[in-house]
Amino acid sequence: MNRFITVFKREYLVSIKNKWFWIATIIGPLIFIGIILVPVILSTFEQEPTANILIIGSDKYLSNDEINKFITNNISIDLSNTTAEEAKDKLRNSDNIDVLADFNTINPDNNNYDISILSKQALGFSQETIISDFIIQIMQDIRIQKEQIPTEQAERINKGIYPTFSTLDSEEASSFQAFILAYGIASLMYFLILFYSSKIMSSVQEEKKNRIVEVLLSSMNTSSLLFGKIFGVLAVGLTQIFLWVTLSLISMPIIAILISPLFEGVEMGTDPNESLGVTSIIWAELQGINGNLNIFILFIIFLGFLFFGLLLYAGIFACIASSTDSEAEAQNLSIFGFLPIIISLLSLNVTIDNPSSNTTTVLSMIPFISPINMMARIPFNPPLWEILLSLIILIATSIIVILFASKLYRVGILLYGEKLSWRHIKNIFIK
Amino acid sequence: MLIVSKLNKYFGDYHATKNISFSISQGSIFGLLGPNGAGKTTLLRMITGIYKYDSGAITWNNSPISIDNSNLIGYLPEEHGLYPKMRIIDIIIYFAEIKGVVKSPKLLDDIDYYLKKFGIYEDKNKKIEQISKGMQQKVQIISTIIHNPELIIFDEPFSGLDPVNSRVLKELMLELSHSGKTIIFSTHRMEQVEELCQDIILINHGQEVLAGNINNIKLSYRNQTYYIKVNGQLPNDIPGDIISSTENSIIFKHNNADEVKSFIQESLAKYDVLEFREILPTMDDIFVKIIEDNNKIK
Repeated sequence: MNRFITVFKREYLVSIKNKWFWIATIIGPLIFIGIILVPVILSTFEQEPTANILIIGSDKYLSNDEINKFITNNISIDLSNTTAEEAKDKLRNSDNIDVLADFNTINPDNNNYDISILSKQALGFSQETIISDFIIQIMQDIRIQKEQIPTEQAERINKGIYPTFSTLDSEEASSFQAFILAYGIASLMYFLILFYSSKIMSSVQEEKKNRIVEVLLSSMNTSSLLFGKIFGVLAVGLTQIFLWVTLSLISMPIIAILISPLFEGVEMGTDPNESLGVTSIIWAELQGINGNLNIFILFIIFLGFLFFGLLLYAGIFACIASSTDSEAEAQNLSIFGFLPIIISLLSLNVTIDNPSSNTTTVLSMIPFISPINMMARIPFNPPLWEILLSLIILIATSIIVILFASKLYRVGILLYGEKLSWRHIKNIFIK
Repeated sequence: MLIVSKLNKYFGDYHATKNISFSISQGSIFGLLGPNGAGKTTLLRMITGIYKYDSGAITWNNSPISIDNSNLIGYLPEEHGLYPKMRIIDIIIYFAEIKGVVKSPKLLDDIDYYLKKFGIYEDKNKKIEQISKGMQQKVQIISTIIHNPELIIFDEPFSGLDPVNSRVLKELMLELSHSGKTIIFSTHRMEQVEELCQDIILINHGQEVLAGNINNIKLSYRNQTYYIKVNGQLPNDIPGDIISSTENSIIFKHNNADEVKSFIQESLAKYDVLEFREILPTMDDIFVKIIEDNNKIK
C-alpha cells in the first residue's frame, strides 16, 4: 500500500507541478467556451439573407398595398403583369431578381394554393426560408379573403403559435438547452478520456523505454505500480475538473457580462432580460434535469462515469503501451483504444436526436461507449434505473479490464525486442 | 547469506535457467559472469523477485526472498533510466520511499553524503535531462544503495563512468563489503572481477559452467608459465620452452616444477634476478577458454 501511495504521489505531483497542467487548466475552459461561442459570434457577423422576388398574377387576388405590408427588411418585390414567359426572361436576364413567384398557378376556387418558385440558381437554406415565410403570408391573406373571414377573426388566427415542450418530470424542458448541454458534457467527457488515457499510455511507455520499470518492479508488485500510476493520473484529471468548475463559477459571470452584448436579440428561450447569457442557460438546464435528482447527485454520476470510463480506457492503453517497444508501434496499436471513443462520438448525433430510442438505450449500456453516450442522454432525463444499470455495467467491465491489464502489463513491460503474442496471453490465463 | 539452490526458469518451452545453485556469504563481493544471453539478467530478475522461478529456492539468511522483503535488496540493472523531468534530489528520495524509507533529515543527510562522494552535490537540484550520462549513472548508483540494503546487485555499474569515478565506485564497493553488505557484481570486465570479487559463478546457456573462489580457479587453470627479469646478462639455461623474451626478461613454460625450483635457486646465485613469478591465467583467459569450449560442446 505504501508503494502504491508513493507511485500515486509521484504521478500526481509531477503532473501538478508541470507548467502545462496549469496552462491547460486555465486555457482549457476558454477553449471550451470558445467552441460553444465561436459559432454564435460568427453568426453575428454573418450577413442577413435577402431576396428580390418578381411576382406575377397576384393582382387577381390582392392589391399592391395588401402585398407590400408583408415586406420586411430582407424582402424586396417587383409586381408585374407580364406573362410567365416574359417573367422568366426577366428573371434570367436581370441581376436584381432572385426568384419568380407565379400566382397564376394557384386556384383558390378549388382550394389549390400550390405555387412554384423559380430561381436562377439553387437558393441557400436561409434565403429559401425568408421567401417561403413571405409567400405563405400572402397565401394566408388570399385564403382569408376567399373564405371571407372577418378581420378580427383573421388576426386571431394569424397570431403566432409557439409550443412549449415539457416532460412528465419537469415543468419545462427546452430541447435546445438540452442539446447544448448534452454536447457540452459529452465533449468534455470525450476530451478528458482521450487526454488522460493518452497520458497513461505515454507514462507507461516512458518507464518501459528508459527501463526504470525494472528497478520499480524489483521493489513492488505490478498491481501497485500500475494502479498507483493510473490512480495518480485520475487524481490529476479530477483536480483539473475541480479547478475548472471553481474557475468557471468565478469567471463565467464576468465573461458572460463581457460577452452579453453579442447575445442581444438572440432568442434562446430564456428571459431576454437575463444578463448571464449562456451561464444561465446551462444553469437553468442543469436545474431542469431529472426532477428526481439534484445537481449534486448528477455531479456524482458524472464523476462516476468519468472515473470508471477513465479506468477502463487506462487499462486498455496501459496494455497497449506495455506490449510494444516503440512509440510508432504503440501509435499503430492505439487505434484499438481510440476506436470505441470515436464510435462514441460518431453515435452522439443518434443519441441526441433520439435520446429515448432502443438503439440509444442499447448504445448507452455498452461500457466502452456509455461514458460519453449516457452522459449525453442525461440532459434528456432518461430513467434513473437506466443510468444506474449503465454505470454498474461500466464499473464491472472496468474492474475486469484493469485486472486483465495488470496481468498483461506484468508480462509486456519487461519484453524488449519481442512483441507480446498470443502465446504470452495464453500463458497468463493458463497460469 | 544468500543461497540460490537448483533454480529453474522456463519461458514457454525455452529452459532459460537450468539448476543454478550457489551461495554468497555476507560481506563478500560475488562475481556473476557469462557471455551475452547467458541468462544473467534472468537470474538477477529472479533474485530481485521480478520473475517468479519455476522450481528451486532463493533464501536470504534462511528466509525466502520475495517482493514483500525487497527492501533488503538494492538493484542497479544494466540498462536503466531515470525520469528526465525530475530533479536529482527528488528522484533519489522517490527511490528511497519506494524501498520503504520515510523522508527524514537522516535520509537527506545520507543523500548529501553520497552526492558529495560522487562530486555531484552542487547539481542536486538539476533535472535529470540536464545532466550527462555519467552523472545519471552516479544518481542510479546512489538510488540503489540509499535505503541501506543488505544485498546489493550491481549489473555493469562501471559503464559510463570515467576513471576517477570508477575508482570512487570501486572504493565504495569495498567500503560496503567491509561494512557487511553482500554484493552481486555482474560484469564483462574481468580485470574488475579479479580486483573486487572473492567468488564467482560463470554461466552459459542458462547453466553453471564454473564456480568457486577466484584464486582457486586461477590455480586450477595454471599452465606452468613463468616470468624472470634480470639486471644484465639473461640466463642461458632456461628449462622448457621460451615463449617470448626481451633484452632483460624471459617468459618460459615448463611442466616439471622441481626443475623450475632448481633453476631459480641456481639463477639467484648466478644472475642479478630482479623478479621471478609464475604467470597465472587471467580471468579473461579462463572466461574465453571455458566459453569457447562450452560452445563447441553445445
